[in-house]
Parts: sequence; C-alpha cells; structure tokens
Amino acid sequence: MEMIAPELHESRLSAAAQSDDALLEISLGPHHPSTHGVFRMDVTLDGERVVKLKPVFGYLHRNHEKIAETAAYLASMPYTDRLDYIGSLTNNWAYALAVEKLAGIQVPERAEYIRVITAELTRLQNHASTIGFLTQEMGASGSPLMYSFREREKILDLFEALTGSRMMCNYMRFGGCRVDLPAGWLDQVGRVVDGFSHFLDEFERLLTSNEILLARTQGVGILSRELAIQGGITGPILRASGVNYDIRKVDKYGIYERFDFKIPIGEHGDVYDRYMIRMLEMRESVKILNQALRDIPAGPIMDPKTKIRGFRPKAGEAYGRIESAKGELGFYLISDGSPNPYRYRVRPPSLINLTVLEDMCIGSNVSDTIVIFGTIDIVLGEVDR
Amino acid sequence: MRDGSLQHGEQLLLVAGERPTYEGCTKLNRQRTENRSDKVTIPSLTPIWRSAEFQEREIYDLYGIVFQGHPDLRRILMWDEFEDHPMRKDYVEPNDYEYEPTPHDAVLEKAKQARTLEGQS
Repeated sequence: MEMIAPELHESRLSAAAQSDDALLEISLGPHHPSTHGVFRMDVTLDGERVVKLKPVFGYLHRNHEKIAETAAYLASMPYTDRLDYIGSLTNNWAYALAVEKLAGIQVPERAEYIRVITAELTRLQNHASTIGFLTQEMGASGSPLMYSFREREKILDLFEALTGSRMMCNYMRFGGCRVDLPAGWLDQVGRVVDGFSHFLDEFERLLTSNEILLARTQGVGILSRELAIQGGITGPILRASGVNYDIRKVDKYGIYERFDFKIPIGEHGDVYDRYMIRMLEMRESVKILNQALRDIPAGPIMDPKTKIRGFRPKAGEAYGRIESAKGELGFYLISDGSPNPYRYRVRPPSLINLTVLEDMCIGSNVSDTIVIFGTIDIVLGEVDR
Repeated sequence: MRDGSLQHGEQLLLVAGERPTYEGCTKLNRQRTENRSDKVTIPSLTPIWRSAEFQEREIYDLYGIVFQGHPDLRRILMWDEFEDHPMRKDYVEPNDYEYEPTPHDAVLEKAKQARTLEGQS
C-alpha cells in the first residue's frame, strides 16, 4: 500500500511557502454558520487557495466516557442520545448491541424488526438533512433544506409517537426495546415511507442534474481510495471513494441478512459522489423499510426474564458496532463484574472521518472547503463527546 | 502489519480496538499508571495508519500516554492550558469546576488579614 505519511503536509506547505511568502492565516469558525456547531478550522491561505488546515474542536467536550465509567450500564443509555443527536436511535442500538455481546443477551424477533425500522428511518432523515445543509452551504438558500426538513419532521413525529421524544429517544434496552409500538404506528410509517419515495424523486429532479450543483461538486474534494482506507474512513464517504464496505453487509448484525438491498459505490470520491451515494442509500433504506414493514411479526419486544435493574455482566470485554448514518459507530466495553463498566470507549465516526479533511481541502478554494466539510457530515456532539 | 499488508476490515478492527494486534498499544492502554508524573511512551501508529492521528492525540490528552513519532501531538479535547489527564482512574476532580482566581479573591484576602490584625491590636 502506498504510504501517505503526515509529513507530506510539511513538504507541501514549504513548497507553497517558497512560491509566495504572503500566506494568510485565518480562523474559520467557531461561530461560522457552516460549521454545524462549535467547530473551528485554522486555515492557512495562499490567496484564495488552502495550503494548510487544522481542525480545532473540543468545545462541546464533557467526557462522556468518564461519566459512563462512573454510572451503571443502563444509565448511559440516555447519554448516548447526546452523541450524534441527529440519529439517537442508532446510537442506542450500537450501545445495546455492545452490552448484549458482553452479557450474552438474546433479542426477540419483533424487537430486531423494530430496531431495523427505527435505524433506517434515522438514516433517511439524517441523509436528507445532510443534503439539505450541503445545498444550503453552496448558496441554495432555503428551498432544498426546507424540503428535506419537511420530510425529517414527519419522521421525527413518528419518533415522538413511539418514544415520547423527537430527538432524545432513549428507546433501546439491553435485550429489546422499551415500549411496544403504539396502535397504528406501522401504518403511519408505511405512509411516510411511501411519501418519501416521492420526495426523493422530487428532490432529485431539483438537484441531481442541476447545473450549479454539478459545477460546484464534480471534481471537488477528491478523496482517493488508498487514503480513505488508510485514514480509517467509514460510511458514505468511504463508499463514495469506491470501497465496498458496509457493516450491515460485513457483520450482518441484527437481522440485516434477511433484507434484499444493495450498497451504492462511488467511482471518483468527489463531493458529487458523496451527495449521490446518500441519495441512493436513501432509496435502499426505503426498500429495507418496505420489507421490514411487510415482515414484522407479533410477539414480545423483550424477554421478561431479562434483568435490567442491578445489571452486572461477567468480567470480560466486547465491541459492538453498527453502520450508523455517518459510518462505523462502535462501543467498546470492559467489564470487571461491577455494576459500572471499567472501560467505556466510543468509536465516533464523525471524529475519525475528520482526519482526512485537510488532505481533501489542500489546494481548493475557501468556498469549496465549506462544501467539502459539509459532505463529511459531522455532529459535534459525537466529535467532542 | 508493519508492511501494511492488512485487509481493510482488519484495519478497522485494529483502529476500533476490538482485536488490537499491536501488542505495545494494548498493553499500555490497559495499564494503570502508578505514578501520575510518569509519562508513559509507546511508538505511534500514525505514520502507518492515518486514522490513528486524532485518536492518539485523544489518548495523549485524556490518559497522558506519549506517542513517539506522532507528527502533531497536542491536546485535542481539553484546552491547551489544562494540566491533568482526566480519564485516568486516579484523577481527582476539582471541587469547583468554575473556579478561577479573580482580583476579588485578593481583596477578600486583604480584608481578612486586616481583620485579624485588628483583633490582635
């Protein structure tokens, strides 16, 4: 494998510095509207071109891992909502999966279906709002973002009907789910999913072959396949660079091997591919949802004998990971037999996907940097933890 | 692993920490450091795997483990002036997180001294 060592930045920087010594250092953020929260980039500019870029974060840091090590296992479940607050249900699932692996708990079939349905709904609203934000940052003020938020709102209403909360869902439990589906909820989901395909058609008519979007995205922010693998990138960004890697297919966690769906793969690894991968993934999620809604069985959502209070897993360690909307979200737990985890580690996809931001941005304009940053799709609650 | 011959999936596992094949890394990460001032060093993985760059900075920040050969080892989550490593098991939390010495403290101290002097005279 080709080595792309970090010292390359230095050589690139010095080459740029020799050509023109009038470099400008600016701090982009932390209150810049495009930074999706409190995030800052220390950018060194040669005219309009970026020659160096260092992400600065930690403004939202509250040491989630330390807090989880001093709390019981179940007490961390609501806290995982606050990591990636766009997709709290996938965070719940990843944590529940890690604890179930640690303690060897079985999940009933109906609960597995509910998990798939909620996770795919989360993916739909996450990708839709990501594309909305992306177009907003390209200057399409308002319209696409409002269309995607209109759809997102419908899905958040479904979450509210199911869990009582729109964003901080706290729904999964070790060995199942918290409450059963309310009456008529599946029909509501079916209507929203049907409407979502129409929304995707409409959204694609508006954006996919739009001249301005093509000009702003094609060939911008290219991430090579080698660097994507070396940088540990996961999720839609990795697949846009042409790597066939989706944990739903690799691990087949939950019941994903029962569903018929495809993994979209990009060719160029540019911003347009990352946009298109998300569009295609939403269509695949709609396919999964239709199958899950058709097949969901009746039955318990949790084994009544599962112990929730005073939960003490045996000493050992486990790593549970899922394909969240942003990439590989993993929870690594070490138990020493006490009610609290001895070590609790989150593998945040947003943080690790940020590693290659500098490589993608070097040589591009400031305006393109904003667009490239938008396609990484980070949530600062997860980056900083 | 040194020659970069790992498959992609294994690399992700390695970075995520399920089966870390990097012996020194796993051993030292699990070590409870007896001496807080002791800076434990292990070689950095970043020249081989870029994905370790931010994660090693985070381990340095929160545990105080120094990675030799890391190109840019700085604090990443805590602020630069912070001195301790909060994820260590023997970390002592401050009584008052918001405490900052202010000019007001000096005034109070002076007043206290004046009062004791008054009491003596």
